[in-house]
Amino acid sequence: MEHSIITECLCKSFGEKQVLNSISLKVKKGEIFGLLGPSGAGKTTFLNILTGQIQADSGKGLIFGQNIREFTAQMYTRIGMLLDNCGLYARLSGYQNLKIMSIIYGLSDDEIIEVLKEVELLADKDKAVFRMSKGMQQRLAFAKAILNKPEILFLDEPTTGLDPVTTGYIHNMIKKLAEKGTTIILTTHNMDEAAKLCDNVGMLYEGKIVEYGNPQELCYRYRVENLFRVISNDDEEIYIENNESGRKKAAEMLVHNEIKSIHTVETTLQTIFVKLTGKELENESSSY
Amino acid sequence: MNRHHIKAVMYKQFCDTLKNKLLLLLIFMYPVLAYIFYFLLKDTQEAVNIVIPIFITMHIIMAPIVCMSSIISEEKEKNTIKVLLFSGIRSYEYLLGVAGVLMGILIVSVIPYLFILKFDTEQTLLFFYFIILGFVCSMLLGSVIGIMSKNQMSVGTISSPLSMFIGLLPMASIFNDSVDKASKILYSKRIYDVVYSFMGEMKTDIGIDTGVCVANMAVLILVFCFVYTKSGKMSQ
Repeated sequence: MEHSIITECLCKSFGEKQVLNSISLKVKKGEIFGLLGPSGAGKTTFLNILTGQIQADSGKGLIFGQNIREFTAQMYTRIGMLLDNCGLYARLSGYQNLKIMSIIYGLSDDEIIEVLKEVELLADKDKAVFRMSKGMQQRLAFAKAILNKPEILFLDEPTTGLDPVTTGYIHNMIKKLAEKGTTIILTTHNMDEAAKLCDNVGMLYEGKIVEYGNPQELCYRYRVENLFRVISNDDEEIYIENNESGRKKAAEMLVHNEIKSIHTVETTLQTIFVKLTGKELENESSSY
Repeated sequence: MNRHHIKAVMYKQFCDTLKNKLLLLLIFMYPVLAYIFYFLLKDTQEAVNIVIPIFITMHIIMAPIVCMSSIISEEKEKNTIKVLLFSGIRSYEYLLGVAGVLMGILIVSVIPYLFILKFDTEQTLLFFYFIILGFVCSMLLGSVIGIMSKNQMSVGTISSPLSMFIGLLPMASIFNDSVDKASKILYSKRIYDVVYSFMGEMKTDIGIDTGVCVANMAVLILVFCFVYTKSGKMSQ
């Protein structure tokens, strides 16, 4: 089977609010797919539908060729989830939390130790979860999600609120898993993360996919040519076109020593999102 | 029924209960209080014969109700139950696993009473028989409260007064004949009467006491099934 996940016209409303509006996409086996969008766009709802936690109002979804409306216990053994809540037992140690899952899946203690080594928590395996830092808890939750060596891994904003070191660590683990053939679906509102990690991205805005494709191809498609960004001595951003009048303006500013720096304008997923929706993401700085 | 699922839940509950100081305090404070009152009142055997059965009854009623409801509501609030259910564990497997561990710990917690009560073998066996019936009824009631509640704070506002009402009714029945007659339909009153009768103060019909306890259990099972069906998946 070529595609691990297929959705067709998935719709979901909560009361009068339409959260998902006809979402159709296909994710190939071994692909890292990123679903991007601001808070409230419908990313978590989409993941919840794919993992069988809630039912879509209409449309179809297939995972491993099976209908997501008919999730069986056997299907859950083939997927891993790192959702908005870790689901960790705070009073139990990291080892004990993983032991619970290993009993469910019929795994050995050696496999628990192996996963703890992968997430570099072996030394802290007997530490209670409530005593762990947020980064350690997230790594433990990640370990829990990959313990059963899932074929598909669902990650809901896996690096939100984490420090850069832990974020980089999680990114490396995601890449390693994809190299081993695990299909990964992750949601994020961090465009840089999506550009770094994902083979394909879908931009979700107000329940609709507004753009879909490979991040590098999207950036090339939406590239802005012949434009420079000038930072003045007053730290003001000025965009100047690379034509005769623009160059004259830049030259005047240079003569009067008004320019601090000159930059080219690179298109990013953030700028594409702003162009398509007119909205910026929270805590993201615009480069256009 | 998947034995791995029940084993996983039992492992989780056993480890978590041993680290949950509040729950352990709730379970073991009754025998501790019973011992304190026993040593305070031991010169007055009549007082001992009234007070100790009251503590035992309160233990059988209040501890399981509050523990079971607290465990379920905490898991719902922290979404840990959701993770278990979406790992393939069914709701009844979860409840059986939790109840199994809680039952074991509760049975251990009543053993200290035997050193005060000094029952013979037959009385001891009947004592445990009624204890287990009482625990099952109370855990069913606690499960109902846990399933209905949205979070831990709301569970406390229901489980504590309800368990106190049912648990202290036998004590109230000592002082009022009408309360005594009305409370005979409840398992708490029947268990109190059985323990009180073993201490030589009155006679009771074990058959009728068993019948009332089983009838209470049947009603609670129906209530549980209704609430469970109405509320949908336990993760909600």
